Amino acid sequence: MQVRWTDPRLVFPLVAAAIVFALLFPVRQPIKPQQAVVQVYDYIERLPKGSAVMLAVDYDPQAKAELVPMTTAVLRHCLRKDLRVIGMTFWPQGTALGQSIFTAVAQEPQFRHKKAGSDYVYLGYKPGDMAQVITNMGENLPNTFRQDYQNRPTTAMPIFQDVKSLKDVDYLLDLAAGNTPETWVQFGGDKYSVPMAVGCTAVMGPDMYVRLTARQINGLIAGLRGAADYEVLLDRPELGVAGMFAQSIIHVMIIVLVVVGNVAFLATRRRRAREGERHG
Amino acid sequence: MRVPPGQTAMRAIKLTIPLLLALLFGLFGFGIHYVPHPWASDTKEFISLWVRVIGGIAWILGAYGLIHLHTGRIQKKQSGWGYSVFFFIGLALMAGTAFYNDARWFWNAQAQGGVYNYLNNALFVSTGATMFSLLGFFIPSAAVRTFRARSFEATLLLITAAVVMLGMVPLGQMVSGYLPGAAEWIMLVPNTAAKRAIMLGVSLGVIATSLRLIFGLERSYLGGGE
Repeated sequence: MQVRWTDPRLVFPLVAAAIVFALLFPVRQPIKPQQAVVQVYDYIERLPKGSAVMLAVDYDPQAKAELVPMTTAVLRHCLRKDLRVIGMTFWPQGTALGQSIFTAVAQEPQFRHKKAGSDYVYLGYKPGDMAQVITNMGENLPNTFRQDYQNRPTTAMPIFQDVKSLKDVDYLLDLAAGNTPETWVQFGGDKYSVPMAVGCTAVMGPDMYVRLTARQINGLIAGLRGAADYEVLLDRPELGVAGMFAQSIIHVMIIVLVVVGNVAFLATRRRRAREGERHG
Repeated sequence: MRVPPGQTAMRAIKLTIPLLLALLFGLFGFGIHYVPHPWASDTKEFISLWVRVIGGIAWILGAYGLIHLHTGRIQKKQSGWGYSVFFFIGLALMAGTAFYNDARWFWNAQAQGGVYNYLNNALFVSTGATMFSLLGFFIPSAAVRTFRARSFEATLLLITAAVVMLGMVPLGQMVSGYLPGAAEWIMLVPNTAAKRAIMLGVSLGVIATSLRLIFGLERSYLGGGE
């Protein structure tokens, strides 16, 4: 049985071995945060104490590896800066995941004094047409979410005493694994003039650069690299930074395989051309 | 020539009324987003409720469809029918624990740290993340097979991909200080230009199609070939 070098039976074990090796024996590399990530960090850093930040946790467990480290880092930053955080999601599959991130971060020793309903709240999932729900949030936020994820009435919550609608939110960050940033930009950012940024999976990154250059978003955190950048800025390296060596190794491996493959391809093409000349 | 009364009524039912409805609701749906009045907000909330009700019914239909499909597979012992058994196990387990909700039942908020949450985190989240991580295997395999320097354009794409891949990881930064900048330039300039052109084209197409639908120029949705 002949196994070609492009055969998945060869490539897959190579990838698996490289990832396992990189995760078992990590090498810390210097990470210089990308400008788009620095912009998000700086904006949050400049927000006055008590400002309201909305985190839309619009992803499901499939994007966990990239977006959970990112969400955790941003949430930590907001709580560290004494900002008030409102979390919600448009992805029903990610509702419990969002809640678990908020609970886990709020239980960290430095944030134990933070109170749910005053310093942060996780509203959970809101069904319905996304554009309409955002528009309703723009009119009246606690009316759109009458209860939080724990079924506590929102109208009585201190956090909503001055944050009546989306217009009162000082910064909006959509952490997304799908097309929600498009609707957030159109109906949240543009319509209600809420400054916003996007955190997304790496494959969505190229699409989001369009929004960034059009200044519809003022920052972008893309993929695990973005999460690593944010962790470096926070000076708290965790899962994002830990995954960077594995990502570096895989990228280099792909390039090496592509180069080897092209050398073989060109050699085969030259050989066939010579054979063709010989046979007339 | 006189048109028989029956045909006129049929034409109104099949053509005129649907076109008028499309015009009415098209303009209504468009306008409602731009009217800053509580009436518009209330109407949107009301419509949103309807969407949720229809969505709820769609969930029931979806569940019925899945149960029907997998029951048939098991009854007929079709190839891979064992997977259908796992479907029923998964459905019963997740729905059962969600409804039971650690003896608090489903009308209360989900219990923190309950069985449902445990299954969600230990099974659903883990399997979901595993499925997505398979991309990490497929992408290198696909890249190795497709990135071939067959032509000038293909070579350009290959080089661009290599620069972006290296520039986006810290190792690239260590190889050359210029790589991250080059990768960022590719993303900000040529990538944005191409994406923007595609988005503009698609948006203009959507606007044109919407206007054609609202004003009755596009009638293919009515059927009948008219």
